[in-house]
Amino acid sequence: MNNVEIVNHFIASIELKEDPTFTIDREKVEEEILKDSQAYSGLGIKILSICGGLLGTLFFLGFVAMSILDSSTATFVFGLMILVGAILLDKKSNNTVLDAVCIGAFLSGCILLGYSINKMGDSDNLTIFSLLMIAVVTVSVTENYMLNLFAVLIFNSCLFAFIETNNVHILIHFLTAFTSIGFVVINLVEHKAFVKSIAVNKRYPPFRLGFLVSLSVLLIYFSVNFAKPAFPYRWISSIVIIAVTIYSINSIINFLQLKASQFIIYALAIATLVSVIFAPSICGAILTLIIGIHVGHRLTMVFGIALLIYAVGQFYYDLQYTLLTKSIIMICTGMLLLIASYIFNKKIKSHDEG
Amino acid sequence: MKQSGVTRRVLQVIAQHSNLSAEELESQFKLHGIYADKKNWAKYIEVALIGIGSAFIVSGIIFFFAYNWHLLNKFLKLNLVQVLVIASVISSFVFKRNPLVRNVSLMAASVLVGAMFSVFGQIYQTGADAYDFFLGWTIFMIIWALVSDFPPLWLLAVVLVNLTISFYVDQVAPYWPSDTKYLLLFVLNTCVLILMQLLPFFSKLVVPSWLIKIISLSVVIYITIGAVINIFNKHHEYWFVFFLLAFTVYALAIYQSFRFRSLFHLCIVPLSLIIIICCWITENFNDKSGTLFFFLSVFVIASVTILAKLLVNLNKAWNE
Repeated sequence: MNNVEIVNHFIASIELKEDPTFTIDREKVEEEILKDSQAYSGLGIKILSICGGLLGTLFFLGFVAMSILDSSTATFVFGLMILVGAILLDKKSNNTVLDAVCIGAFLSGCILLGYSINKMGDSDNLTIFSLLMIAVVTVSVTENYMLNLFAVLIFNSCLFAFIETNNVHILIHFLTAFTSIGFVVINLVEHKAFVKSIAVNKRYPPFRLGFLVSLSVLLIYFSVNFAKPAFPYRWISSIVIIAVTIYSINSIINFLQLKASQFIIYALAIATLVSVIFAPSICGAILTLIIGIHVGHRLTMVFGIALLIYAVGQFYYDLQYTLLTKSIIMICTGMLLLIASYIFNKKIKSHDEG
Repeated sequence: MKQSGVTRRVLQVIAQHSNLSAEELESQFKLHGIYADKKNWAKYIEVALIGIGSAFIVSGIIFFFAYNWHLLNKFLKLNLVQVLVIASVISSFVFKRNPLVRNVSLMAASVLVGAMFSVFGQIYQTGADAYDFFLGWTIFMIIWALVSDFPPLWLLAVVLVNLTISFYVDQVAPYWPSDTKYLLLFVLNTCVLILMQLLPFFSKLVVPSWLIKIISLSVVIYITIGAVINIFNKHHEYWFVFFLLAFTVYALAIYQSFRFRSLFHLCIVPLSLIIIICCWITENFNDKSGTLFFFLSVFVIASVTILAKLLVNLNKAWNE
């Protein structure tokens, strides 16, 4: 069955339900599906576009640094022209072929604008705020996958940069709340976002990826800084992530319409998460994995597994215990998990037989 | 009822051009197996518990031997780790009907072989180079990788062979030309790749596409690094051998792409060539002004755009 046949089969199955209010623009659906199957958008072309865009940006910035960087006004005007050019080019011809041009021009424009504003205003906060506004404007005017993805990444990076440049590390917990809640909400309301409007529907995939990458980077930051005394009250971030994880589990239980064993699921989840309350990165990795499995998004699952391996490894590496104590803790945890798997298997088998 | 073929993207397009309600769309996600149902969750939980549990135990064992506990004599230490390796292999036979447990046991045995060699080195202070350690590890686990139908174990074997070669060149033959390491690595990985592509023709084994993509990427990265080293640091007379072999491999990759209508190699090979050409231009045009950078940025963006256009057209032609 080709993609168009799959769609026709699917539409027929919906129409069989005899919902009189259901309407669909078959021609547009078929046209878009056909366009999709012909427009190659695999991993290879994404690597090509992103690497090409980044390499082009680097060379272009080299040229700018050697030519016009002395004048802030010239850099500002030039950066603005390139940025507007990137967005206009995308609006005129929204296809994969021009992705490298758009990415290169967009990133060059952002960097040049950021540099010139910083030089003119002599304020890091003004630069951060300007880049934040550029990200918001970009999201509101373009539907391009790559530009929206980079805009989300720039927005979240600006929030992080604000905390770092002003040395207000306590605010990192608000950023944790923002990225983790954002990540969960985006994933759990996928069906609502798809039907909300065409604008939301088209922007949804880059937002999902943008928040996944942002949350992952934040969790890696937590992992790296775990042992540093300059990072106080890390458990606040953990509590935020635990609350979000419990909310996610609640949504999944409702989705699966589980009636039995609810108490055991919550108790096990809370016990597991509280045991790693001083490692927000592990809590976050578990959250990513749970959400990835629930929505069946392979990339989220891969990120979750990689984060879990890294976060647990870094946690044990930083732990101020002897290797012997660490080894005993790990072997006991491993044994517990294998026993749990045995009990779980038995339960599942008895449930299937029953 | 589960209908195969309806993907997340299909549902996204249908939602875009119809008045499907959010509730109906959610039920479609469930119906077509995109969102995990109870069975999927049971499968994932089982994999997670066995996988994470085994990883914890193996890591704990490695930490235990790394502690080098003086209360344990060397005989006991060596025997303990050997017993654990044997136990893992036996469990892979005992649970041969459960592929998950069998494969995880073999993976654990393969990792414990590394622990065994490190305990041996720790006790006898052999003073061996790092490559000796990885060579021993590779030799004693490669059989399990070959007989198992478990791609992560194949990947572990490939990584170990790569590390052995890399450490050998760095520690034993540092006087070899600087590109030799990358030459050996890309030739080795190309052989592995060819073997994996041929495997389905004479066995029932199926190599997952993610493994082929990872090894293909490693070949392209090694070739690119080696070529860049050769361009900036041509200090031996046989530098052209590297380029000759590299372009033969690239020609083979492009031939394979056209033969099997796969676009992945057609994306990464030209990207590597673009990077190599940029380095060649930078080395040969010693321009200190910004003009060279401007030219390079235009060259990169234009070539990537033309390439993307060609790939999209090719994909269109192949799908018609």
